This record gives sequence, C-alpha cells and structure tokens, in this order.
Amino acid sequence: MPASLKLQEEYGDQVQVIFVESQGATADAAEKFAFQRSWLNGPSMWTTERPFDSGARGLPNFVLLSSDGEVLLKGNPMAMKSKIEEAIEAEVRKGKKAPEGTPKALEKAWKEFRKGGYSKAIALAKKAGSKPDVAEDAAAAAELFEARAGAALDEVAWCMENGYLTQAEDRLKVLSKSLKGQDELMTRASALEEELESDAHEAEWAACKAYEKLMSKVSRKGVDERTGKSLEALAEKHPGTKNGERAARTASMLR
Amino acid sequence: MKQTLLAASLGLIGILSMASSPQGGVIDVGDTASFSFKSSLVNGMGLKSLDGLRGKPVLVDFWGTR
Repeated sequence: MPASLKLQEEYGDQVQVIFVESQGATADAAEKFAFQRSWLNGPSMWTTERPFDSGARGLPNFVLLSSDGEVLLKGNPMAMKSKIEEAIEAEVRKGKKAPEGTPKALEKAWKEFRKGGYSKAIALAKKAGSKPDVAEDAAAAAELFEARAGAALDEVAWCMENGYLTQAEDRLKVLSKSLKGQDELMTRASALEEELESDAHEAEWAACKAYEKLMSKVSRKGVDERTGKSLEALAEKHPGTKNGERAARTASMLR
Repeated sequence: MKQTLLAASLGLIGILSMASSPQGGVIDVGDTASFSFKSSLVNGMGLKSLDGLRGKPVLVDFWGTR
C-alpha cells in the first residue's frame, strides 16, 4: 500500500491526499490499477492531471501543501514519513486557531468556524462588527463563513446528484446542527434533507447501499475473478441509477 | 563491455522509474499552489480546483503504474 494511503487512513479528513499518475497512463488504466489493489475505497482522490511540477524525476515523490496552499515540503514520501507527519500535525494544530493577524475580537468567531460551527461563527463575527475598529474585518469574516457554509451545502447537493447518498446524509446531519439560527442556510439544508428522504431517491438509495456493500467486501477481501460479475449484476439490478452506472463502468474497466 | 552494459541497465532503470515530461514551472517550498482540474477526480466529490481544499493540508503524491 502506498505510504500516502496510510497517511490518509491515519489522519482521516484532517488531510487530503491526491494521487497523480505521472507516467502517461490513461485515467481508466490508472483507475483500474488502483481499483485492482483496493486502493480506491477511502477518501483519497486520484487523477492523471499534474497540478504542478515538483521538480523530482523519480517516483513516487510528493508535495505537501499547507491549509493555505503553500508548499511546505517535497520529496520521497517513503523517506520523509516522519517529517510529513510532523508538518501535517502542525497544520492541524494551526487549523484550530484563528489565522495570524486576526483581531482579538474575532478570535472566538474563527475558532467556532474552524470547528464547523458556522452559525455561531457568523453570529460572533456580526456581534464583533459592532466595534468600529474591527467592523470591516468582522464583515469580511462573516461573509467568508457564510460562503463556506453555502459551499458545504453545495457539496451535499453534488453528492446527491451523483448518487453518493450516504455521504450526503452524513454531511447534512452535521451541517444541519451547525446552521441552526441561520434561516436562509437552514432552509437550504432542510430542502436537501427533504429531497434526500423523498421517493425520488428511493431507487438510488437501494443502488447506493448495494454498491457500498459490494465495495466494502472488495475492500476487505480484495478484487477477484467474481468482482466484475458482481458489478455487472449490480448494474443490471439498478438501471438508471448513478451507482448502477458506476458499477457498470467499473465492471467494463476490469474486463 | 560489462561497464557499458551496467551503465545502460542503470539508465534503463532510471528511465523506467521516471515521471513523464513535466508541464509548467517547478514548484518550490514557499510557493503557493493553485490549479483547476479539467476533468473529475476519482473520489473527487466534485472538486474542481486545489483552492477547494483550502482549510486542510493537501498531500499530492506523484506515482506511476509501471
């Protein structure tokens, strides 16, 4: 298992690992390679598009970006595991506080925001805005927090449109709690909850549960000669669903 | 002869573990990375650019299938 996959497992959603295939393989070939090794079942992302040149010519190599997108480290992930872990942990600790230079009056708002407490963060920022010396910063902070809450709801909507219903449900549960008090955002969250529970998603829910069950088995036992057939059967049983399409695509990739 | 073969073998091994031709300038420690993806990432959950991941550290791992 690649060292970076272990890091993703270890740090969960505190870090995002993106694997970039760098030897010219097609996206399908790279996905098939990773799928056959059961590497695709976690939250790590996979692409063949190189976002930048790390300067290294050997593989694997990595670039670690800070929470603000700044390059912190680069090199061989196997040789620099402890340095990577130290840097990630420092970023995680930093991520719990307000950004450097934040006015004291806004620190609480930022801490709430960092914990995902959007509603409290927005309210605290607006309250701090009553002080003339931080009014501008407070307004900017409140706007940012509202935008991020909106973006989180957009992600839920995307998950629903693309058949990732369990992820949508899990994210909504957390978001709904954190949005109480923000009427407009709560209305959006409630609408998404209603839609998720409606008959319109019944077929997709069935397909989603079946696909997750199959992927969980693949994750535990690995890909074998029956995996392709199981995926084809799932696709046939759940036509017209996103998960059925995903199963069909994966099955054809394995042939 | 043996040295030539050895050099050729080492060269071949080097080529086999190399990345394909890079695009764009080399990024270095202290630089800020920004990139918009043209196509969906596997497990990308709709991610369109690196900016969408601001707020958490990102580990970009360059690997190969060969």
